[in-house]
Amino acid sequence: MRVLYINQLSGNPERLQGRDGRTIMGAKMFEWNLLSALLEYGTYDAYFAPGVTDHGKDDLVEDGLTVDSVKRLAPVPLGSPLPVSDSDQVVLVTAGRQLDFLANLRQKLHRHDAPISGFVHSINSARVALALLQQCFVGLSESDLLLCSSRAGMKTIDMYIDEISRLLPPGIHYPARRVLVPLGVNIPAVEQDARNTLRERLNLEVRETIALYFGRLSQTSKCDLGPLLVALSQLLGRGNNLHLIVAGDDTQTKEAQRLQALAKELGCRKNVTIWPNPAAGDKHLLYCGADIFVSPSDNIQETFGLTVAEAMAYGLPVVVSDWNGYRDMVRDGENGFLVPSIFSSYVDNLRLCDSTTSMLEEDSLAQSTTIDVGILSERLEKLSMDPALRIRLGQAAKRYIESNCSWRVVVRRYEELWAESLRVAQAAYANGKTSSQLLSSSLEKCFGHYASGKRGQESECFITAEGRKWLKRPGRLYFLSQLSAIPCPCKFADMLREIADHPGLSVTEVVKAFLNASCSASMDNAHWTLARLFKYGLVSDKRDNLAARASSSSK
Amino acid sequence: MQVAEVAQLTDTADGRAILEVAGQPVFELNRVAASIWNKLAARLSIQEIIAQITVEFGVPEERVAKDVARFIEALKERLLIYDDN
Repeated sequence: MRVLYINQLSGNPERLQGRDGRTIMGAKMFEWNLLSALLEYGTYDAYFAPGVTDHGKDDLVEDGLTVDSVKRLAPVPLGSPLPVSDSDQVVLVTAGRQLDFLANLRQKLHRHDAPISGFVHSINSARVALALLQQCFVGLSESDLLLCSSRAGMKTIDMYIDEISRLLPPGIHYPARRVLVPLGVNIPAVEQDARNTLRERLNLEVRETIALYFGRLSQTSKCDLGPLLVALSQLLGRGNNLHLIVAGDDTQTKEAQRLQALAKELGCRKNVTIWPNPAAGDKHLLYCGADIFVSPSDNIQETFGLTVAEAMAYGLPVVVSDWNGYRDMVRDGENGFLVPSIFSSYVDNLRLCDSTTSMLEEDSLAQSTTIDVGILSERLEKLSMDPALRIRLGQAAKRYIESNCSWRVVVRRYEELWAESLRVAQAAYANGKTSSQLLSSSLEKCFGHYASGKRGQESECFITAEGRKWLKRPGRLYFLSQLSAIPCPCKFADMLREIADHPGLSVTEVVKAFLNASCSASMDNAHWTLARLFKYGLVSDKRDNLAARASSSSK
Repeated sequence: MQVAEVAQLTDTADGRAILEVAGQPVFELNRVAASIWNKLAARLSIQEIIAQITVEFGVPEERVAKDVARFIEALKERLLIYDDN
């Protein structure tokens, strides 16, 4: 059996924004789309989701997953042994870069033959470099995968790793394999009447050509859209016509007002629609009804270009900056146009510089990066005047995405990589080569002095009077259950009865009896169960005279 | 036979019956199971429950008896029902 353990489930960001105004982040969109795609196109036998409940599954359906997809999710208790056999193949997946969390989990589960797979999205932060440094010490191996979505982004990751390697002693290095896999997108059905619907909604004539920008309206993490308005005003000044829609999440920096004021100042207000925080349905209408897609990204936060891929999937020709992931997808003159991007002359003075409020130098870099306004204007003009060119480039764009970035293709690629990783991990495990944490401190060593003492393995266990009351009302034991999808407390009742029947058993003996009776329980689990009984005063290491008397009189 | 005090049947806004245990929604019950639970909570005997469910849902008594026995067994396994003694 092949099993995928999905580290974290989150809701649909578009629905969450509609509900409580949360910002739509690309990484969160990816997390949601990845879950949807794995459940729709994945061919694994089981998909384990830690802590998922029936209620949580209902939320996922409400957010847009199909009932059949959600049925494939199997709940597993957090940190507990997986309900799999040793011969089952397990892959541990996170939608983010938290490979270290999964390395800890792998250690805890004793599944050294299970590869880990994670993704890195925004790379423009010292935090990413530090996370990679940390991951050198957590027991990753060459069977583990860090998937990068763009060539340029992967090159940056490799540079971070080179920098880190220079600081580390010989023999310690970043072990996970880096592999390029583009992000996936859904291939939508384009609605033919959307063109008219969108123009009616904006009071535009049917023949009007529309260029769409869709993405976060944020100078600090996407792009400064001011130069795009300048390019539009130049195009209009040459006597040509084009309507620009600027739509997207505006919950962070409230750009809409600034852009409206600039459009007015440039005299192109009538040709610009600023559409902050569109609903999910509006996004589909915008992509279906537009003729051209434009995205002049200037920010190193942009790694792949999910909205560019989405627009291409709708068959739109794109005019985008020659930037990171954009240039992986767009062939200049074949399926869109690339507009040159130029760093400022002082780029060599800037350093990665996170602060609590912003990324000071990264923001400065974006603000000073030029996306050639003249060429941007000229490319938009060319497409606006030539419907046949739009159709030719748009069809090529759609073909490219269908072949390289559709979720069906991308999920198949993931599964190929996971199959390779499973082979590497299993071979290493069979040869006794398992990576382990280099930095591993026991909690007892670090925090043992916090408590008064520690219960010994030889401590005796007696049921208390309270424990006997709870055995008569065993439903109460639900309060002791850990967060679990099936929180049946039978294990507490079984252990409590064992202690009641055999007063004075040592901790070791109770644990041994528990393990003998339950083939699926681990040693940690047995100790934890007993500790919970002690914690609620149901078991004591001292004989409870009242309980003993009650017990003997009942006999 | 009595149901666990820590378990309570609640109705959701969309009409589903949820068995909350220790303050957490744990099981969703269908209409028949919810009705059996309510009768157990009202301390009806098993015979009384079978008779009432037979009338309530218009199902043969033999089938109801099997369903009731199976449901009670499931509750016992989950420590949600105890014998009076």
